[in-house]
Amino acid sequence: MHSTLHRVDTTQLLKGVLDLAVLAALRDDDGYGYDILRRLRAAGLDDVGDASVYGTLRRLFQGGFLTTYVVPSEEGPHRKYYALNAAGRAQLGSSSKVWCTFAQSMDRLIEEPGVAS
Amino acid sequence: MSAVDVEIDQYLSGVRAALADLPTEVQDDLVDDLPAHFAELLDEHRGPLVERLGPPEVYAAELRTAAGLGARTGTRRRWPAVNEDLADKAAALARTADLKIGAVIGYPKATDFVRLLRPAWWVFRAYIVTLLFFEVTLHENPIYNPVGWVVLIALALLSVRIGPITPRLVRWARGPAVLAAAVAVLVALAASPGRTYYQPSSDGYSDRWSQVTDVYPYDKNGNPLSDIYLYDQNGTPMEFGDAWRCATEDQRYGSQPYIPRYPLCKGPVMASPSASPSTSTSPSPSSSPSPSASPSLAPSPSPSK
Repeated sequence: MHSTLHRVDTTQLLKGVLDLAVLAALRDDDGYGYDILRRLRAAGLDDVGDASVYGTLRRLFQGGFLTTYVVPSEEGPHRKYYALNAAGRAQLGSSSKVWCTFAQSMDRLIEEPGVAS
Repeated sequence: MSAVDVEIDQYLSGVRAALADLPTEVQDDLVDDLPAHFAELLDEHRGPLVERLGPPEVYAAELRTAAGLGARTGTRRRWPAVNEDLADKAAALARTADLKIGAVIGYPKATDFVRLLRPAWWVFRAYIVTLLFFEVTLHENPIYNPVGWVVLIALALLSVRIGPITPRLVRWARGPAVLAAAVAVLVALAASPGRTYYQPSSDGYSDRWSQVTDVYPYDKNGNPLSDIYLYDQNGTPMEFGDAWRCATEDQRYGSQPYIPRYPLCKGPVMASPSASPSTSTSPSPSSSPSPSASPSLAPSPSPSK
C-alpha cells in the first residue's frame, strides 16, 4: 500500500481482536453489555467503543457463540445477559492461541534489534 | 415521561434513523440492549448521552460495523424486507428481459438501443413543450404557425444542448422529471389528434367551423337578416352547422329539396330577451359598422313574424 501509511493506533488494533476480547471478558462470568464494557476498560482497553461492544455481542450471538438470558431488574429496564456456550469457549480457545502466537512474534520482532536488521 | 426517558428516546430514535435501511428485525436486534445501557449511563450523572457517546449517527455507524453489517447503503431502502425481496426479483427479471429483447433487435441490451434514441427524445420533448404551450395559450397547433416553428427550433436547440447533462440530475429530481415527462407526453398525445386545424374535410369546408351550429347574417347597419341562402363559388348550397336543427315538417318531408336558410332558427343570437329590448337599430351610432361587429353586441332582432 503506497498511498497511506497507517500509524498504529489502538482503535485499529482493536478491530481485529474485539471478538476475542469480548469472548475473554465472558470467560469467567456472564455479563450484560455495560458489564462487559467495564471489564474491557478495567483490563486497560480504554478505547473500546460503547457501540462496538454491542455490535460485537450481536455478531457473536448470531454466529452461535453466545447464549442470552434476560434478568429483570427492580430499578430500570431489564438486562440481557450474555454467556459463552460450548462453541464460544472453543472459539475463545483457538483465537487465544492465534493471538498469543501473533503477539509473541510481534514482541520478538520489536524487542530483538538483531532480527530486524 | 421523565427527562431521562426523553433523552434516551431522542438518542435512540437518532440511532434508529441511521439504521433505517436495515430490515426491521435487524434494527430491533441491534438496539435491543441500548435503552437499558443508556439508562445506566445517565444514572452515573456524567453528562448527556451525546457528550459521552458522540452523535447518534456515529454511534449507529460503529454499531453496524462491529456487528459486521457493512456501511450504510443509502436512505432509499426503507421498505420492509419482503418488498426488498420483490424489488430484487423484479430487477432481475428486467435485466433478463433487457438482454432477451436486445438479442432479438440486434443489440447487446435493449437499453443500448433505447440509449441511441435519446437525441430523438431531446427533439421530441422540445416539440411537446411547444405544442403544450401553444395549445394552452393560443389553442392552436404550432405546426401551422411560423412563430411555432421558431419556438420549436429554439427549444430543440436548447433541449439537445442540455440533453447530455440531464442524466446527471440530482437523484431526488430524477423521479419527478421522469414523471413530468410522462404526463406531458400523455397530455400532448391526447391533445394533438383531436385538434387538426385548417384541415379540409370531405365536405369541402374547414373543420375550423365544426363548432358552428347556426349562422346569423347581419347587414352593414347591424340589422339582422333572415332567410339567407349561402352558396359557394360553384353555386352549391352551403350547409353550416346543424342544418336540420329548426327545419319545419314541410322542409323535412316536402317534395322540394331542402336548402337551409340562415339563421336556421329564429330568434336572437344569444337568447336573452330581458337584456335586449326589441329595437332594430344599429348596434352602435358609429357610422362605420363593419360586418365584423360582434353579433352578440347587436340588439335582438325585431319580433319575428
